Amino acid sequence: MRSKFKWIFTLLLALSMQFSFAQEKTVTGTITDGNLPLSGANVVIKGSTKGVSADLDGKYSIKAKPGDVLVVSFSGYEKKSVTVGSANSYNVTLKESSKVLEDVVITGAMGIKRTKDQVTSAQKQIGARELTQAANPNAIQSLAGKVSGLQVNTTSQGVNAGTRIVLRGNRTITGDNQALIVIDGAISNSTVLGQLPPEIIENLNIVKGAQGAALYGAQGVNGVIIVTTKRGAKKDKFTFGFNSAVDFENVNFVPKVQTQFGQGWASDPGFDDPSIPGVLSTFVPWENGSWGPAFDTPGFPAQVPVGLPQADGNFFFSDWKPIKDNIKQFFQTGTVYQNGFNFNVGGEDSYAFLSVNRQTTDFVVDGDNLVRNSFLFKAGKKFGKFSIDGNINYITQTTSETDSDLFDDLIQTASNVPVSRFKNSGNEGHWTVYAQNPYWITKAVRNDARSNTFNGVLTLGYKLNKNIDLSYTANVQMRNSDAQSHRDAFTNINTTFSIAPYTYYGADAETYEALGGSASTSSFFANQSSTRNIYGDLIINFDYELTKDLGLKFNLGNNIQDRMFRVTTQGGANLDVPGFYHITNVLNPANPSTLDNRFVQSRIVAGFMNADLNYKDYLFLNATARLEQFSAVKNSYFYPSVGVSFIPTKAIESLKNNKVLNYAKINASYTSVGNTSAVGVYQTNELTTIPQGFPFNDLAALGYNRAPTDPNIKPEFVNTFEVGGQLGFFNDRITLEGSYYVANTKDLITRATASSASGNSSILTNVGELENKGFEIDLGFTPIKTNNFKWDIRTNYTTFKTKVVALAAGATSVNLQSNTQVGIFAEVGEEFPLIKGTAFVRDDAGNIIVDANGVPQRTSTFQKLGKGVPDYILGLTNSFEYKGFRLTAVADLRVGASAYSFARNLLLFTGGDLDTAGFDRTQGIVVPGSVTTTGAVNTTPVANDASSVGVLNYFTTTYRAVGEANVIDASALKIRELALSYSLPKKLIEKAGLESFRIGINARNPFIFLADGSLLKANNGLENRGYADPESSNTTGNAQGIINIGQYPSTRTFGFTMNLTF
Amino acid sequence: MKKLKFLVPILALAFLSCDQYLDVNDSPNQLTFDKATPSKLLPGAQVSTYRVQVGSMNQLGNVFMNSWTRNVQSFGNGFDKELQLNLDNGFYASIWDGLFRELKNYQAIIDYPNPNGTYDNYVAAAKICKSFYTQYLVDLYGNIPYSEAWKGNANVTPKYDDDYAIYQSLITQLEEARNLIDNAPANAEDIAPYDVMLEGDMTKWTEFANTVQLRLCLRMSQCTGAKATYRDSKLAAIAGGPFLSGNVSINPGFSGATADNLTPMISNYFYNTDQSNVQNRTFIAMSGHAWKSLQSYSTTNYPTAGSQEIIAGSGVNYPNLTDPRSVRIFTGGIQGGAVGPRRAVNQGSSSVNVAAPTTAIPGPPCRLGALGHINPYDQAGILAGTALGYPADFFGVDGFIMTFSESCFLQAEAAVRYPALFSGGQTLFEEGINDSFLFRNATIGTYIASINSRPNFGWTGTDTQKLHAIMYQKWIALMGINGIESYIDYTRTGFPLTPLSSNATQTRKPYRLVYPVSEYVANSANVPAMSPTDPFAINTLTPFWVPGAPN
Repeated sequence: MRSKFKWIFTLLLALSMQFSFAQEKTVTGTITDGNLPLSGANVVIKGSTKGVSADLDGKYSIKAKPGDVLVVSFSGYEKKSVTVGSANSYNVTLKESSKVLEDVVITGAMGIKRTKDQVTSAQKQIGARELTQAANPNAIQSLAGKVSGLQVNTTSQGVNAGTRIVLRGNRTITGDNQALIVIDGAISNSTVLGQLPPEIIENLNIVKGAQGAALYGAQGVNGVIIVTTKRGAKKDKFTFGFNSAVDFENVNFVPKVQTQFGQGWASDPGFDDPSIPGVLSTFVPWENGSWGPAFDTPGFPAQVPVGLPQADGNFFFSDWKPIKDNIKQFFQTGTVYQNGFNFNVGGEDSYAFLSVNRQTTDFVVDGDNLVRNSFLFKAGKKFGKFSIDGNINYITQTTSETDSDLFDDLIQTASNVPVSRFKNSGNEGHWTVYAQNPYWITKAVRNDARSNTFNGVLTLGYKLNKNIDLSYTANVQMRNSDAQSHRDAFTNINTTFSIAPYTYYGADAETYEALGGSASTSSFFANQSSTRNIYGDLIINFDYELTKDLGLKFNLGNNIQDRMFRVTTQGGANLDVPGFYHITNVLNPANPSTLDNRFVQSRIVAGFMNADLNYKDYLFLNATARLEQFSAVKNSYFYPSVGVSFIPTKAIESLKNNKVLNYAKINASYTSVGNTSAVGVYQTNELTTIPQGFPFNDLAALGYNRAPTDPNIKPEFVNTFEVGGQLGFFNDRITLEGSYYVANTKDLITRATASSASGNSSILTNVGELENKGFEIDLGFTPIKTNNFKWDIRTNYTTFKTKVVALAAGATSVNLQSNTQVGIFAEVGEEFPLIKGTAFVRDDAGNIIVDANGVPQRTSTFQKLGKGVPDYILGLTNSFEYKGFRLTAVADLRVGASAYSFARNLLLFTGGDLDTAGFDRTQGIVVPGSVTTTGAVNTTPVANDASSVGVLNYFTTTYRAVGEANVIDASALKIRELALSYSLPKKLIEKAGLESFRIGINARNPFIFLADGSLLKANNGLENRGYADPESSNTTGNAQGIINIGQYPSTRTFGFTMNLTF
Repeated sequence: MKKLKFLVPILALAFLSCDQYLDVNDSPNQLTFDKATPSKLLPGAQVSTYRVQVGSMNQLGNVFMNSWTRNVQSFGNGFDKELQLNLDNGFYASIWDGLFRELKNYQAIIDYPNPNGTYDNYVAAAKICKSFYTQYLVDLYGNIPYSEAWKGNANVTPKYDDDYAIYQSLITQLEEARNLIDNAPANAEDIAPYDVMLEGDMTKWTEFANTVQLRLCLRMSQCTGAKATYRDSKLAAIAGGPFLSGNVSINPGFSGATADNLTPMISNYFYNTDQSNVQNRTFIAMSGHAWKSLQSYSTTNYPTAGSQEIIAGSGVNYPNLTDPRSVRIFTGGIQGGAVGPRRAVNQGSSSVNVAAPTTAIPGPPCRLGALGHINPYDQAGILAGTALGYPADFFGVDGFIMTFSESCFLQAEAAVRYPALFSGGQTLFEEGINDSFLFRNATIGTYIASINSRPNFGWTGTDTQKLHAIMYQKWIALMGINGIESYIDYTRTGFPLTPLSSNATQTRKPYRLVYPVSEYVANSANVPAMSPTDPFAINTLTPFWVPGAPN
């Protein structure tokens, strides 16, 4: 690479030489605001394209001739011109512009640009610097903690993490609550955004307020995130940028387990060492349980066999003592490499930008990796009345992942097991016969996927006259995905092996199956899917000054969308030749009726209009309307909105140029938008289904569709009223922003459970009403701002409540998912999503009531156990800048949610949970704090069984079967990002031909504090002793509140970044 | 502004073509329901309902009847609610949800436009199957939705009907079915290609209808007054039969091609398509009660003579006869890589504790025997020696909805209870046993003579003892095949005597199940309120035919 760079330098030098003339001299100086140097201020020679920017100390140096006019500008400051005379040094002081906020142009819905004053509902911009400060490869994840009203959850860990992006909580219980993603003017999705290298993003505008998204109709009902990718600079100069980041990733925490008792099962005394008969008692080396003898059992051997005999016929032996966090041994240190470069060239009326990025990730699980290449090319040209802008984004991604359910197998590990020694033991020699070897799974189960995403946007503009222009935006998005999954068989379960010198129930030979182990079948599946979405907007823009004080901007448009998806799947069970993964090698191909083979097409046609009125520069009105029809729903629907904003600091004479209150804005809006995302394409027709488990062996069958959709279903209308305001004090050293909103969803679309007696299991129809109320506050504070040092604090606070107001006649709750212990519900009068489950029967004082045998009583009906959304989210960003150094820290605190943890449930079964120890198991267990039916203090051990078996039976069957016993507090304080960067002084690097050079170190999620009783008390469930990251979930859907075990523990990263441009 | 003029038509045009542009909502993936003719619906309905019967219904019956229990040697939990008798609204909700939803397809056949009687045979078969399965819903739940049921979107909150009224309607359905068969027009479509149960043999459908009617009437055997009068009249109507002359089996083309092609008995309890065992094969163990019922005293490690009584204080001891079917229904667990000695687990025990006196315990318990369950009449040719690929040869065997032996035992019971209408009890009783032996591929030898010398188990003694013997033989004949039938016999008659699990938290088995959670969520205005203890008491929720049930 080095030699090529040199070549580029030479070329650049040669180019710049052409602009060099005689008589020039070097003019230098410092640009300040009278106090601080203005690093990055531009100095341009008027009438030319020559210009430089000031360095970190505000110093500039430019070649100019006497008589040239230097135009000095800096964003937020008033321009100043200096004529070059005989002197060689000109220091310039710029005055801060009083219109500073106005100058920021915000891209809103349909690409309509407005100033901050004109925006009539809550929006928040995140720039490239905030996005990339900790080098998170996923732009969605790096928004967490930075924006009020926004909740970003990483619902699953892995090379391809699942995320859920919700603005201001839930408005629908069945439809989509996630924010719409718009990239460069066209509707896209979070998958594409998650794959977009953050390096190429110019900024994100998070439109929280419903009114700002109303132009998108039904798709914008949950707010919108408008992504603008970088475009070429307007500098008539060729720049080259290079960015590189490397991160090291490891597991943050694993569940805490008891270290008092070792491997074994209290009711299984079968394993024996005939040389010391009876001493091993309940110890069983292949148990997944930690129900064995205590580690301090007197006379117990110092070393014990562990696991099944290995291939050589011998047991592994290990010390009879706990190993701290032994399952962490399974995870490796992962790496994330991100490298990219970009070329940038521009001018007054044209630009071109090329960015190439590559990310390679090796996850903490062996063999899980990702390679992603992203290419973005953008170019544009203005030619007279025409303009053309185009961009092409091509992303190719390859991933390989194993089954994350291996974590389920992993946490069934007694604390004395030396995990890493079993790396090559397979299932035959695994440490337990009752779970599969996670090391084996990483090799035997793989899901490999390749995807290619192509996104092309073309915008044509034509300026008819000074008042009217037209633009057409066309977007084609194509995505091909090719995925293969396979699972190797494990059938070696009937081979007899010797366990001598030990015996099990008197015998010294055993088989895997006889010990209770199961075989697993091999399988192979492959699917190919393709998506083709077309998006087109025709917009006519009018801009009139009606009177001297009254301005009108008006946009009239038409939008069409055509979305197609096809998926073809093949595969089946039983591979003939192990390790060869192809359909021809599948002995039992699956019946096509059980595979995903379908074609789905839907279209949207809409007409829309937008009007922006301004009175002078302080009163603004925005009105929008959209008439939309979606092919999957009968009839077209009208979605209007209106909003006003008022700037008292510009309107009221006494507030103008106020030293204390420098800026004030109030805004209010009303929006009525519908949501149809819950209605599946084609589903309003009465369709048949294929009966489950029908052989299709020369005879076909059809059946009634048990989960139909109401053919006359209509959108659920969300009517939102919002008020908000912004205040700036002491020249914006303190800023305060806030919004309050009430969103009512009428005609709520719900998949309502039906009485099975109707033949339906459910029906999707309009029922009920939902209310979502909340507010958010952003407080910015700059305590220190001196020449060299700046300290910024940004805090945000979010709270909302989504309450179910009404459901269909006769129904009081809708069940989103449930098992026998717990479920997620929408229930009238309660917050959504509600976690309900079985609970212990308690007396008025909250004591658990036990029966005559000391067994706790369980409610037969589901009780309220918590909710799946937090009471509030508090975000905090702290940043310090000292000369070229910048230190930032982002944290967020989420309090009040609960979650059902399957990990806890499993640990209660295996006897690994802390609650199963801490007492003498041989004495049985008296339910702590329990009372008898007469109210007396209970002293009877559970089931009257004062033995280890009594404890075992209690935890494995009675206790963990109660929903309440597995609901944990999902609160957490997370330090999301810590980043320190240093930009080298310009004078140091310019000799090397560099324009900027920045290096940094960063950490993501370095510290996570769970509600484990130490820093955060558990008030909404049991303590979260590392069971799960509270953000994780078994779904990215609305039914948040259940965390399955197939979720890797969350990870933290530490890394380095380097960015340079020249 | 002039130039604006040409924009208006452009925009207008964009909307004009809208209707056609948006007309893309016909599914290319699923047929519409009006295309589902009775010939498309019948096979799916038959298979789907049978899956519920052989799956959750069969399993619950076998655990409740103390035939099966958990393999405590290898499993820390399982069957906990069944053994402890912790009934709640999630308990076996799959029976309610599964049957009701699958029965909708039979109703769709009945409701399908049927000009000129083209579909009469389909309608008749659908009515008989609907009656057969609806009876189980009434037997397990008492009052259920019926007159407003299966109306789909038109009524998702159907009202509940009186269980006795439903029984009457089920008999009417059977009468209508027989009438349709008897009077089917010449153009009535032959259902043979689509009938995967009785292959379009309408005579057998008539036999099946009569046998179901007999079963309905016998359920009402304890009823008095007007119900008894009604029962007797409906018994009289079918006293002359004909009743089933063979099994009602099902086979839509079962094979080992995919998991869906396996007969559900195999995929639920025995093998995967790669011939490895499914987990249930290891999990389900022979219960101590089944052992003692099927094995003689000398082959059992009775700790005391007292435990030879089936239920302490009942005065009825186990038969003390080794039944040749025992080794077919249950085979020894795998120990040291081979089939080990036979052992069993008393329900509720945490260790394997029943075996021959010479066998070391604990150790792996007996599991379900393939030859007794999935090789009926040696269909797979295993014993005949014509099989080649054991166990793959099992993959295509029939499933059984109502066995010939069950029909024999029903008729034997009718002969005991209603000698004025039915006769030949002993012959039918012995025919039932004989068919059961054939089904299980067991050699009958002197079994009938031996068992007939034992009151309560063979054809000897009082009528009550004979009724016990019928229920006992029916239990063994249906063990693992249709467990729920024996459990319903038990709630009706208390026979055969069946001990509770030692960790049961109730003093008796339930008379019924709790309405499922889906009803409380979606049909709360109609579903009767119910506590978890209600099923264990006689009250208004008890099915009407339970002795002592009100109304």
